[in-house]
Amino acid sequence: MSSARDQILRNLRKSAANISKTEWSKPLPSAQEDAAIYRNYEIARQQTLKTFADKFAALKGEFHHSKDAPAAAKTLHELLNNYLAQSNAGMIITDQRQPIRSEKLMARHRHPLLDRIFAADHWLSENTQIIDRQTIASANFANFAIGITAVDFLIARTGSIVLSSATAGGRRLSVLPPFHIAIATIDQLVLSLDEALKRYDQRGVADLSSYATIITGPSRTSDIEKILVLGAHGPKRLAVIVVDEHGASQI
Amino acid sequence: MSEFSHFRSRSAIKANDDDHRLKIAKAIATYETAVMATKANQFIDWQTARSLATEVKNHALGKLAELLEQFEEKFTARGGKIFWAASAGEATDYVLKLAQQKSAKKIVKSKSMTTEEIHLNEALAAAGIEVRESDLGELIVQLAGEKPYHIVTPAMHKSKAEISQLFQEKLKAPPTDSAEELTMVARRYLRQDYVTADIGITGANFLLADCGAIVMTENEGNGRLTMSCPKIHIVVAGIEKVIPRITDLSLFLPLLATSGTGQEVSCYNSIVFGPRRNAEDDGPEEMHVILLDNGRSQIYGRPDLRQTLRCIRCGACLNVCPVFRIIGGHAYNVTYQGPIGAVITPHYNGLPEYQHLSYASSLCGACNDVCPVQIDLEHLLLENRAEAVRMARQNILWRLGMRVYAWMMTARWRLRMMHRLLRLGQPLAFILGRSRRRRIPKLAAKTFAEIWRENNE
Repeated sequence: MSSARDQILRNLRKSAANISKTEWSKPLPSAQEDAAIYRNYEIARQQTLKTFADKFAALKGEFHHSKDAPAAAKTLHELLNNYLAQSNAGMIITDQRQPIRSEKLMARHRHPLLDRIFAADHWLSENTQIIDRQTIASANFANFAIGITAVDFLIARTGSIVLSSATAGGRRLSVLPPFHIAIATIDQLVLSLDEALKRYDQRGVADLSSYATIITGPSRTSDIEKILVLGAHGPKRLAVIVVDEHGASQI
Repeated sequence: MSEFSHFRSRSAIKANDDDHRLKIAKAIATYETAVMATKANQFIDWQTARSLATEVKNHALGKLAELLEQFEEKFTARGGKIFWAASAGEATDYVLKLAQQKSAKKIVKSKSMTTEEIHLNEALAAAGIEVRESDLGELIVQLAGEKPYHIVTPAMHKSKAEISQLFQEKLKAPPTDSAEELTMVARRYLRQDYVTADIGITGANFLLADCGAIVMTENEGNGRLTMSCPKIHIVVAGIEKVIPRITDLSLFLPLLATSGTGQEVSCYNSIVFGPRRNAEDDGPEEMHVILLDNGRSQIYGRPDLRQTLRCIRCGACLNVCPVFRIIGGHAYNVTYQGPIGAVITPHYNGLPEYQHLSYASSLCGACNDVCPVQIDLEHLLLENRAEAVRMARQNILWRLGMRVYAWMMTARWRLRMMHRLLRLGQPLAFILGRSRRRRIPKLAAKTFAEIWRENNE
C-alpha cells in the first residue's frame, strides 16, 4: 500500500468526520427513472421503434428495418452495393489514399445473429472477413472500410446504440472502420438510458466485458468554428438494421 | 512578470481585439442556441435535474473516501492497476517510469484537462517521448504551441483560415476553407498513430464506485481509439470524479452533454471496466488509473469550498461569463479558465499569486444560473476577495482609500458633502480621464435623496 493512498484517504476521512446533518450527509436519492426527468417519455413508450428511428435519423444515422434474417441480408447487400457504387464514383472518403483493391471490404465478428444473416447471402460472406485475434492485431485491420457488429441495446429516447466488447467483437471493430453497421433485434430496443444501464447492472456487465460504449450518431466534431463535421476519428457513416422477427412493430 | 501584470496586459490586448471578440461571440452564440433548445426539449424541468445532480454529487463527496476504496477494490479485482498520486509530480513520475519501463516511444492522448493540470505533455516531451494529442481542438493548439483556450473547446479562438495556415505549415496540407476538409486532414494524419502508439492516455469524466469503471465522454471517437488500440491504457482522473452507481449516468451523461455542447447526449460515452479479458480479441493488456489529489483533499477540508469538487467541467460558466467573452481563455494563463478557474485556481496554485482572478468577474451571477451542479461561484469569488483582504496583501494607499470611503459613506452629511465635491471636481475628472478607454460617466444633476425630498414636500 502506498503512503500517498493512506495519506489521501486519511485527509478525506478527517475532513468528513463532522459532516453529519449537513448537505454532505444526506442519503443518496434513489435512482431516478428517466420518466421523471425527460420529456416526451410517454410518446417514446407508445411508439418505441418509431421514436428510435426518428431520433437516429435526426442524428444522421441510417435506419433500416427488416422482418427476418434473409431480409436483413438483402438490406445489407443493397447497402454494400450502394457503398461500392459511391466508392467507385469517388464520393466517399476512405482512410487510405489509394483505393482499396483486392482485399475484403467488410469485417465482422462471430455472433449467432450475424452468422444467420450471412448464411442467407453467399456473396456477402465471400466479401466479409470474420475477425479473430490475428486479423485485429494486423496492420491490415485499418484497411477495412466497413465494420459489422451486433449490439446489446438500442435506446429509443436518445436514438443510441449500446454495445460491449463481449457482444460486438471487441473494441476496434465498431470504431476503426469508417463505416459501422450495427445489427440489432427488436427485443434489444429499450425506452431509455436508465433502462439499458439497469439491465447492464443486473446482468453484471462489468464481469462480462472490459468495455461498453453508448453510441449516439456517427462520429462528429464542432471544434472548428462550431461547424458540424461528421467522421472526425470514428465512423463517418453509421447504419443500424433492426431485425424484427415477431413482426409486431409498426413504424 | 507577475501573474497579475501578465493577466492585466493580456486582458487589455484581448479586450481591444475586435477580430478575437467576433470569433468568440460567434462560437458562443452557436453554443447558446443549441443549449437553450436542448434544455427545453429534453428536460421536463432543468432545475429538477440540476438539484438531483447536486444531491448525488453531495452524497458522493460526503462518502468520498469510501467510494474511492470501493472503486479501487472492484477495479483491481479485474486486473486494473491503481496509483494514488498526492501531487502532480507523483502522477507525471508514474507515467514517465511506466513509459520508460515499457520502452515507449510514442503516446497517443485524448483530451484531458487533468493531464493539462499536471503538465504531463511537457514532462513526457522532456524525456524524449513523442506525445500526440488526438482530439481535433487539442491537436490544433498542440501544433500551434499553445495551451487549450477553453476547457471544452480548446481551439475556440482559431478561425478556419488560421487552422488551414497551421495545417499547411505543420502537416503540409493543401490550403482549404472547408471545416470538413480540415477535419479530414487531422483524421488522416492521426490514423496510424492509434495503431502504432505504445501507450494511450485518456482522462475520465466519471468514476463508477459500484462497478469499478471509468467513464469517458467524447464526440470524435479519438478517445475510443486511444483506449482500444495501444497495449497500455493510462487514465488520469481527479479523486472528485467518483459517483456511486452506473445508473447515475442516465442523469449525468445528458446533463453534461446539454451544458457542455447543447447535445442531448454526446456521441460516444465509453465505460471501461478494465484491461482486455482473456476471451476478448483486442483491448489493452494493461490498464492503469491514476487517482490524483493535487490539492483536492485540501479543498475538501474546507466546508465552503468543498462544493467546487462537484464540478463536472462542462464549461458552461466560461461561455456565459461576460469577462471570459471579452478577455478570452488565454488571458487567465491557468488550466481552468472562467469563473470556476477564478474560484479554484487561487486555492490550488497560491492565493497571493492568483487572487487577481477573483476580480475577473462582474459578480453578475450568470455562472450560478447555468452551473448544472449548482456551485455558488458568485459568492465563492467574493469569499476569495475577502480572504485576500484578510491576508492583508493590499497596498497602503488602497487601504487608506477604503477607510476614507467607509468614513464618507457612513453619515448622511458626509455623503452629501462628497456629492458636492464630486460635482465640483467633475470637469477635472473629465479632462484627466480623457485619454482613457473608459469614459467617466456624468454625475446626475440631483441625487435620489434630493429628488425624493422635492417630490414629497
